[in-house]
This record gives sequence, C-alpha cells and structure tokens, in this order.
Amino acid sequence: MNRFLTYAFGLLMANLGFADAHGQIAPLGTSTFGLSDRTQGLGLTRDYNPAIGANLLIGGAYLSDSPALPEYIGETYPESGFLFQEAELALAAAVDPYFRGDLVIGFHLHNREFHVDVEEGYISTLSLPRITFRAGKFYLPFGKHNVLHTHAFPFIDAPLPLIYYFGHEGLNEIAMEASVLLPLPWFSEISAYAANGNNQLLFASERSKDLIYGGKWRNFIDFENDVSLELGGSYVAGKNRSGGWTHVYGGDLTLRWKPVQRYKQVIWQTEWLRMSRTGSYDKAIEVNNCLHASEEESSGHEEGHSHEHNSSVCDLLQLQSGVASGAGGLSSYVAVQFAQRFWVQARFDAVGYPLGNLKDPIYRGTGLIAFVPTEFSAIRLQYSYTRGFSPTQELQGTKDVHQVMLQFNVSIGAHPAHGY
Amino acid sequence: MVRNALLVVFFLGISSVSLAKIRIVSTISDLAYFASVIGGDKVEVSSILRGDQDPHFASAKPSYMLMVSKADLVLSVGLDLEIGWLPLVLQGARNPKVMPGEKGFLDCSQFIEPIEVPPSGADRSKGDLHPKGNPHYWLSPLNAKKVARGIMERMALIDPSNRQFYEASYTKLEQEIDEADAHVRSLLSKTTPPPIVTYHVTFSYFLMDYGLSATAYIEPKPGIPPTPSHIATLSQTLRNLETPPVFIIEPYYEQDIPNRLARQTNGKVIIVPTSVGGVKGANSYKDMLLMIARAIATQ
Repeated sequence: MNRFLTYAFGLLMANLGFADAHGQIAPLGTSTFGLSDRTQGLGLTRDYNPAIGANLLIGGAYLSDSPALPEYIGETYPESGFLFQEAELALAAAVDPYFRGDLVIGFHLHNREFHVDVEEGYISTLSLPRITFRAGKFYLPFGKHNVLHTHAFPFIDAPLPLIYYFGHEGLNEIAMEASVLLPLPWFSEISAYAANGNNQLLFASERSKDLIYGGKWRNFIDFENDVSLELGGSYVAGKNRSGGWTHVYGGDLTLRWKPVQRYKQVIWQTEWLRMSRTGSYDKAIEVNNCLHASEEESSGHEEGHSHEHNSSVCDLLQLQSGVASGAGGLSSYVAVQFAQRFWVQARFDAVGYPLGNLKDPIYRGTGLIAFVPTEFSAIRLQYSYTRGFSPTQELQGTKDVHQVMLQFNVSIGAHPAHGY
Repeated sequence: MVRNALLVVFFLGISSVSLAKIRIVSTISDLAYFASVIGGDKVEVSSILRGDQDPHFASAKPSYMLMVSKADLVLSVGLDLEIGWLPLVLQGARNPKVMPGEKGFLDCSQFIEPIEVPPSGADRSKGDLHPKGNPHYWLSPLNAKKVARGIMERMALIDPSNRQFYEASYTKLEQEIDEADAHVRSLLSKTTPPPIVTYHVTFSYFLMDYGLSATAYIEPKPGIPPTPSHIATLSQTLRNLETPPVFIIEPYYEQDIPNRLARQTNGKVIIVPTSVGGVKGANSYKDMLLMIARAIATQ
C-alpha cells in the first residue's frame, strides 16, 4: 500500500514538474524537465517581456493659504501634509521589426482618492526612412514642457500657463501623428497631428467627429559642442464647446551650456503661448441661457437623464468661459548644475502677458534646490510665491500664497532615455 | 536617343553608388579610429562623443540624431554603455538602415568576452552596474584587434567591392596594435608598478591584459560619486601602503578629490586618456595605450 502511495505521489509530482519519473523530488529549476521548460512550452516565457520601470514621487507640502485661482488651477496646489504626488508605471518594447509599443499608467491622488489612468499608450513606427508615425494616446507635441511626464518636470509642478490653458493633465489626446526630419544642415523636425480634442478647457466640441489639428516645428543647433540652442513653434486648433474655434499658438527657446568634460551645466528655457477663441462665451448670456434651457427641458422629462446631460454641458461651457481668450502665458526658468549632484533653479511663470480678457495677471516665482545622488533618485525642495486672482470665486482683488514642497523622485527598474 | 541617355544616367547612377563613401558613425572615438584606419579614403567616419567625454552620461542630443540619420553603419560599444541615450538617438534619426538587427548597426561587444559580469544579476544597491559586464573593453589591445576585425568584416559586407582594401588596412592596424602592445609590455617590464588607484572601473581590461589590478577606486561603488567617509577611509588605506600610489584618472572626472588624496598619500595624479583624443597627444590608439602605460611605469 505504502509503495503504491509513494508511486502515485511521485507520478503526481512528476506531472506537476516537481519530480522525475522515479518519484525523486528535484530542486526547482534544476530538473531537465523542470519548470522553465514547462513554462516555455506553455508560451509563458519571460524572454519577450517589455522593459518595465516605475517612478515614485512622494514628499510633503505646506501651503500658507488656499490659492485665489480658478478652481481647476487651485486643485493642482496640494494640501499641506504628506504628499503622494504620483506613481508612474512604464512599459515599452519592440512589437516586431516595424513597430514599438509604449504604455505609461499613472496612479495619483485627486480629492484624497487614488485614480488610475492611462497617461500614454501608443505605437510608433521603427522602419520608415525620415518619417515616424505614432498612434494612440499621448502628450501632444506643443512647446517643451507639455510632452514631459511628471517625474521629468524641471520643477515639482507644471508651469502656470500650461495648467491654465491645458489643465492638470496637459494637452494629452488620442491622436495620430507624423513627424519628419527635414533635410537641412541642422536638426529640424516637423510634427503634425490630428486628435480627438477631448480637452475640456479648450475644445470638447459636442460633435465627436470634430477633430483638432496641430503641429510643431523644432530646430536644434549645436555651437562648439558646449552650447546649444533650440527654437520651436507650436500650433493647435479645433472646435470648442460653443461651436466656435479655439486656436493656441506658442514658441519656445532653450539655451544650454553643457561642457562635455564636466558635470556642470546651465539651462535657460522660456515658453510662451497664447489662446484665442471664437464663439459665444459671455457668461451672463450664454451660460444662463444654457441653464435656463436645461431647466425647461428637465421639466419635460420624468427621468431627469437629459437634465444631467445638459447640466454637464452648461458646466463645461461655464468652465471654458472662465479661461480668458486672448491672454498670453509665459514660463521662463534657469537651472544651474553647479556640482555633479547639485542643482539650483529659479522660475518665473505668469498668465496675462498680454492680458487679453483676463482681469488681472496671475504670476508666480519659484526657487528650487535639488540633491541628485544618482540618475535614479533626486531630493528636491521648492518654494513658490503665487499672486492670483480668481474670476470664478469672486474674491476681492488679489491674494498671496506661499508654498513649500519637498519631493523624493525615484525610478526603479528599466528607465528609458530622456529627451534633450 | 532617349533610351541611350537613360542608360547613361543609369550607369552613372550605379557608378556613383559604388564610388560613394560609406558613412560610418561611432558612439566613441576609438571605434571611429579603427573604422577610419581600415576604411581610409573609402569611408567618412565621425564619432558622436569626443575622446574626453564620459560615455556613461551623454545625452540624446538632436544633433546626434542628425548624424545618425545620414549613416550607413553605426558602431556601438554595447553592454549597455550607451543605454541612457543611444536608443533615443537611433529612433529620432529615422534611419531604418542602422536600427539594431540590421546590417548597418554593429554592437562591437559581440566580439569580446566581457569581464566583471555581476554574478547575481543587476542590483542598483551595488551601484550603476552593467548587467552584461564591464563595457570598457576597448582598452585591451587583445580586444581591440577582435573588435577591429569585426568592424572590417561588417564594412566589407556593406561594401564588398572594397573588401581587399579593408583587409589590407586591417592587417596594418593589427600590426600597429601589436606594436603598441609590445611597447607597453616593454615599458611595464622595466619597473615594478606602484599601487594603482582609478576613479571608476575603466581600466579593468587594460590592467588584466598586463597582469595588473587596481588597488582601489575613488568611487565607492561603480557610478556612485565618493562620499567624505569613503574618501577618509580610502586615504587611511592608501597611507598604509609601502609604496605611494599612482592615481590614473580619466579626463572627465573632477580632479579635486584625486589631488587631495595624492597630497595625503604622497602619490601622484596622472590624467590619462580612456579613448583616442581623450587628452592632448592621444591621436591614435597606440598613443593612448602608451600614455596609460607610461603613467604607470614612470612612477
């Protein structure tokens, strides 16, 4: 009986891949017929796993007062306390000789709750000469900062003009893009794209077939290998919520001194953008009319579903009407790497240059020092002073806000190369 | 008449293709040097990085993309040395001829046997290790010959009409490397080398070829800048040596710490090239090897 049980147990273990046919239990991974063979036989090999990396942005914040800014900008100022700014999980691999796939999943706190979203998920071509096509969800190429993930921001937070016009998610859409390297003596690249235009602050046309269109021209010149100059121009346009058109255009300039022999560099980067809009955005007339129409419709519907829909339409119209047309936004910073592991940085950013339909400019000054032990970790301390005016909160005049943030910015796993 | 004219244009086109120089772009200057010696006037060679530049910390400059966009052959060190920037440069160049896996891309690490492969795999708590082994293999003349032969074979594959020329040039390069090797052995045999301190694990292959080894490194772990406590411990260790050490320092590292340690230990700091063009006078591979050897031998 015992011999039978031993034989039966041995046979069972052999079938599970833990023992040989004589019932001897083998250490994992040492048997010729062990787990790895079975794993591969079942198509469970790890050989083609994508490169996997994660970024963690944690720290703390102190805010002297709630910022007097449009509500959606105010939300980007974290409350005082410990901070879990964001975690990003990035996967990337060649699909085959022709395509590459990239996926970045973001985990972040919003209104004290964790949210998960696909920050980017796209395929790009690898085998076409001079041109690259890209399709999926990604940060549209507008200026320098919009394409960055949070862990690669030069400061802990995004520049004011980008938050003001694009929102805290940036200009990130489901799109198709073609980018071409021009046959010129310097690096000159033109990108053009069509996208869905779901951005609620700028576009979000009622008709989903109303796409947005844009492009960027990027030029880079090396001087003597130590100094480089980059100049770019960007433009995007599409139908907005009121049926008119929204146009955003901008320019960027980056001057960098980076001697090849030393771990020192100085970067000066300036971005400017401006939005202009057609369509009726007079709050007093258009939004009230919308709400009035919504109430009338709801009285004729028992379930109230249409009322909710129209209410959200009005909310969106109200939100867009709070974004000043004709106003320009500016962000300019200087970053100095004065030793291999230390950076000191200063930034000025503002909305209201030119003022456009904005009552008063919003501006902010920021200083940052960073200790960078390795290329995979950084500890950054940032102070900023914001002088804001809220057209939606009906505050009297302006208000000063002081903010201090500490950020631990670390990368684990595979970390793809960063753009220049 | 039109047909004849078209034939003339066709054959002119063919001849211009066969006469066109191969455009070679290398990541480091040593690979560019090998390619230019082998290719002579049949090739146009440029190096992305200068000889005095740290290849670990280069950036994916758009101007590098422009260089690679026009290349017929890209020469890479491999072993993840360029992982922080080359993938982005290759993709930004939009040149399918030189993508990894194509005949226009050559990972030169395939010709050598890597050393210092982390036995338990990559773990960043041990520093910025290269999971596939130490990538500074070109500083070994034995490896240099293998790599140069691999480059020659690839050039001949791309441009078979000039195979004989490339083979003859390679033979001359091999002789140059052998002469350099013999000269280095002769220099090192005339003296007892002092304890050698280097900043990073850059010279492991060179030292191994000549039966030497580094006594200490200024970095506490590969790729990790030294801390004050590590420098203090290192200073104490080096002061206990019978012979003052020689600090063989790569040209791209800060020299303050080596200079301070040299003062404390009666040692000597010598800046040596780690690539062709790394310091003034290192105009060839032979020059570079001899400068490293002299730094050790003339202590």
